[in-house]
Amino acid sequence: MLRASTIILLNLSNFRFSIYILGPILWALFISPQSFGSQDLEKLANDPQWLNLYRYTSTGMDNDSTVTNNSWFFHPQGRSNPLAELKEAVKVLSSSEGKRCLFPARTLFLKRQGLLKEGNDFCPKYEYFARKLQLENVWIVFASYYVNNPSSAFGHTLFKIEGKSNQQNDYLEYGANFAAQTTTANPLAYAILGLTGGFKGNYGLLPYFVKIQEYNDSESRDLWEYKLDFNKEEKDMFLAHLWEMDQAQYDYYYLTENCSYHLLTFLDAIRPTLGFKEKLPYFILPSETLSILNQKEGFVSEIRKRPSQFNIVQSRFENLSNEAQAYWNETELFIPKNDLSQEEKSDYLDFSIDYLDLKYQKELHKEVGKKGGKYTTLKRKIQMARSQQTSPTQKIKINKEDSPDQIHAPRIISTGYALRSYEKIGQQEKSLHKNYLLGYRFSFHELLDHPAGAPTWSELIMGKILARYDETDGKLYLDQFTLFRTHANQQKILSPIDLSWLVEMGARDHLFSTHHDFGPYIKTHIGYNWQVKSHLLRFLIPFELDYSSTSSYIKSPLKALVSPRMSYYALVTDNFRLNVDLGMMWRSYQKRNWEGFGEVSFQLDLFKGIALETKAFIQKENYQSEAQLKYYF
Amino acid sequence: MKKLLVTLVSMLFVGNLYAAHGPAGCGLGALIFEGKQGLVFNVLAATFNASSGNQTFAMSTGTLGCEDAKKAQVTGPVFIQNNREKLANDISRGQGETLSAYLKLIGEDQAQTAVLQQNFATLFAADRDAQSIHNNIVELI
Repeated sequence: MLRASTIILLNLSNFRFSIYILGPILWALFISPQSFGSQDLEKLANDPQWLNLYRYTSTGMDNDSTVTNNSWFFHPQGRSNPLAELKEAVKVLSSSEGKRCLFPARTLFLKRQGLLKEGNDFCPKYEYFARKLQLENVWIVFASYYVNNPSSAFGHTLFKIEGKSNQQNDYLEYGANFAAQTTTANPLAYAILGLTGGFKGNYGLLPYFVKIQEYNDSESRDLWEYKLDFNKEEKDMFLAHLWEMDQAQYDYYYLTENCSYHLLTFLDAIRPTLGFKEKLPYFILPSETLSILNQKEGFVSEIRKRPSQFNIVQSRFENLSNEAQAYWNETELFIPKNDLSQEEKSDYLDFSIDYLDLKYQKELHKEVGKKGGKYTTLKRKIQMARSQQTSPTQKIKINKEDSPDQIHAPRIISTGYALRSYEKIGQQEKSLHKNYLLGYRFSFHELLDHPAGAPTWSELIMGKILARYDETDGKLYLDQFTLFRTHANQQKILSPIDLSWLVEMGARDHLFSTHHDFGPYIKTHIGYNWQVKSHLLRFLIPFELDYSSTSSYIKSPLKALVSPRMSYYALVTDNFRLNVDLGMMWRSYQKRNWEGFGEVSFQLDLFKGIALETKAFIQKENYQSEAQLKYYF
Repeated sequence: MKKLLVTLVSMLFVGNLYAAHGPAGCGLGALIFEGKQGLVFNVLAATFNASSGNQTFAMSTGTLGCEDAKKAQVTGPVFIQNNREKLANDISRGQGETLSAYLKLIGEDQAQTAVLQQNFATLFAADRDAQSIHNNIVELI
């Protein structure tokens, strides 16, 4: 029909060719024999794959693409009008091989729909790209949390492109990464711009070994790889769409339109029936990518783990004989003693080499290209000793039990009841408050949550709110707002003892306040932890500073609290976690000196996604007890 | 106490806590260890999910300037330049993933790795650059 209308137009205009009608003629010539009416085109413009390839999102009756640069669209209104864009795309792609080379995915889509003529184009750059990747399989990679480095706490996701003849050697594969183009190093500007879409985001391609160096080696994070079950046609579309990503620019929002969002919407463009976009929560974390992937049964066909340097060293140490382990523990010498067997010596040297890489990675890196570097010289000495041993290197034991896709949902709604009895400061009387509690947590993990798939022995909270309805005075209060809490119990290699630290900020009702006394606070602690299997023992010195109202007894708005303590945490059973704190407390506004206190809390998982948490606190004349039912979603 | 508060608050607003990533090019390894410094920046980065870092590689270029145009693959010397330590580990052991990848890249995946292991001391002598290590390996196999 469209071709017929073009011919009529030519007749009516007495064959007056112009640049404006040359396009439709070419379109008519190149279009496949199958004819499309306006209704067909309208239907096609609403095809989920067409919408997904352009990243249209529905805004009520309208559409809007998350791609922000105009050059992504052929039609001036293309960003919000899929039909106009479709018509223009058919027109442009019919006549321009250059554009077909630039946008091979939409070209492939239109060819499969019969709107463009079949046939191969001469696209040397795209062919080079395809030859380089040799796409055989696509994997989603999750760079796991690493508590020793807070910036790694949430994890990160990217694509891994497995090539045809690479024999699954990761050093030959490529990674496709979606990330922000950050433009500032100022933390405050960084946070504001990141939250408000102030950075641009785009895809980039790089050898996968760069990501191995960054995550496995430098940050010592496990890489969890999830193989996606795509057929041949889908792989062709994946490759074509990945190439197109060079033309797309997005606004980067750390909490909503981040790497996870963009990877999942990319997959929707390849197979629209996945419907991941509909499953995405408004705020999305990288770990949620995996649970969303798992919702589509059979889509993940294999899970692999590339262990971190930390785990490699641990495994190498476990490979050592008892005698060799004892020798290391006694001497910490990198070269083994002579009376070990050849195999034992090889294992020992393998351990020494990887241990050096872990412990002195930055020093070794700094020494690259320099002569006589201390650490490089030491390492070469060990490697030379290893090169004289012919025994093979033992395999690394890989534990896949803690895969991050098992993690609990990050958000919580909670409700409960609390009793709080406080001595009125400066007076002899006590006040008893009976409170109904209502809470919400935006993300992500606390020690009492189920540990499966979560960062080990650590917490990362962002946006946690607790409100209470006080029965005594019949009023509703905002009890606590935690902006964030980052809490790590670090794991030192080959030692059960390492550093514990915590940083927390927010606003709250001042502790032990007998009235609503809301204000900002900062909390931190430092100490040591001792980890044995499912037990964590800590010696901590917490420091808290509140800024809230004054009273006739509390003269300063600044209230400091120091509470050194011994803390014991245990994974008692698979569904039951316990924490007990015992210590001494000092408050800046109290005339009395140090006072002892005790605190017990536990969580019992009742059903999947539902848990009971209880807490009890006692300090001389003061006590608190509360129970909350928590729903994870 | 006031001084303490001022110190804590000022910690939050101090900029330039990390160096910006440089351009990519062939020296990929240089990107890895730069930046990501400072407690405040780290905490903010954790809070705002900024682990992905900066994006420096375009889709069409990938490893521009680092590839053999015919094979569309990273060249041997570039591979060594970016994976020198891991390759040295593997050659000293006579086996490993990095060594296999390198040998495949240079089309010598059937090579006897024991020869390289025996010549470790020469290959990784202190003054060797990636190109000369590569040349030496090619001679040996």
